[in-house]
Amino acid sequence: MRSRNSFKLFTETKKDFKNSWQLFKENYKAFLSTEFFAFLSFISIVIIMFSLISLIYYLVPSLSLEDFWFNFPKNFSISLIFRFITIFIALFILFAFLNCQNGLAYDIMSSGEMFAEFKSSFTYFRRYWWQYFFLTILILMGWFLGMIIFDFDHNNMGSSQTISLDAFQIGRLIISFLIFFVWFVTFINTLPSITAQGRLKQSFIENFRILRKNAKRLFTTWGIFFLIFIVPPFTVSFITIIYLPSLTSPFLILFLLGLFVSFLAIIGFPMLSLIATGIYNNAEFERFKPFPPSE
Amino acid sequence: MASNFNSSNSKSLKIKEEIKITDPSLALIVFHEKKKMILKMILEKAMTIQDLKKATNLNPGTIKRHLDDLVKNKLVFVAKVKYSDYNVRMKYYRATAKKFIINIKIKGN
Repeated sequence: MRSRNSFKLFTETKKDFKNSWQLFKENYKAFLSTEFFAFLSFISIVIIMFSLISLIYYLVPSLSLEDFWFNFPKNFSISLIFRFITIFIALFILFAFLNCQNGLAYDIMSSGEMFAEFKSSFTYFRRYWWQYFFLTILILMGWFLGMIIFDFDHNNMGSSQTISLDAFQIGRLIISFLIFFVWFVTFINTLPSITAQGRLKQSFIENFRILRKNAKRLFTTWGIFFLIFIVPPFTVSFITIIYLPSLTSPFLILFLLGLFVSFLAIIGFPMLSLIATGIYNNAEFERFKPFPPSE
Repeated sequence: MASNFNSSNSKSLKIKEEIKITDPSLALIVFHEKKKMILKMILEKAMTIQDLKKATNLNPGTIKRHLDDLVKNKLVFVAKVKYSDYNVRMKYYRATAKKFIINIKIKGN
């Protein structure tokens, strides 16, 4: 009985990946166009904001460049406004647009046409821009929680000195990562839920209903997702932070970092949306909006 | 994709043996190269947009736009909606008749 249950679990996980990969291959253009637009918008906003700051600096001679960036305690309000506006707006657009891929996944799986177009991203951006941003921040909070556990600053991870980790530090790091993983799995179903039924409060209710009834499937599928897409860049970036200053030739490690991050961006993010939507459509739970949707 | 389907929501519209088109604007639609290609594919059997993409090599967005036009002019309808074993919804389109006959009369003065 136990082995039959395990077999069924891996069958469902295999279906999640197999079907999501098939749908990604048929619709990769829409997903990659959306991602490209999101990253391009992010870079453009940062460039525009820096240009504006340069203009202000030129027009107000009493201000110096340090006022905007370096003299944070002395020019608190100017620095804070600068950092907040620049980074906040840029990240807002990036996160909101990246999550429009959930809308594309919904179009592919639930509209009946089995395809999605890049322009649909703008429809979903209009509908759910702030919800997608809010939910992304919520999911990423797991990462910050993990870093608090690992005591990032205290471990001088920002220092340029070589740091060696003992077994205890490595253990803490693994626990931090696991905390992020559990947090991620806890809240990831809010994204397809909000896309399908449109209300934020209900998306949390549905999210926890899915988690309660499908916990094993969620942890198995997302566990494998993390092993494929998140663990490699995480591991290499951590090694880079620790060992880069002491390396005579850092190019291999930087190449690996670029490779894994690109793999995550190009394939990982679309697969995330497709797998999350696939699980949402296939999971057994009490829904607010009937599934399958009626004609 | 999956080969086992869960059928749902079959439309019970009767497919006619033939439809005579006498409206010139409708005839123009039928004579449109891509619409004609799509219509020919779905005269005898219902197909999804992905099936039509493989058969015609057209972009799915293009197929969808032409199908919408054909549906609007009642030349095509959604014959059935099925769900794959991964609950992916699939709309099957079919022509409203097995044969379309263009019959336009040009009257003299």
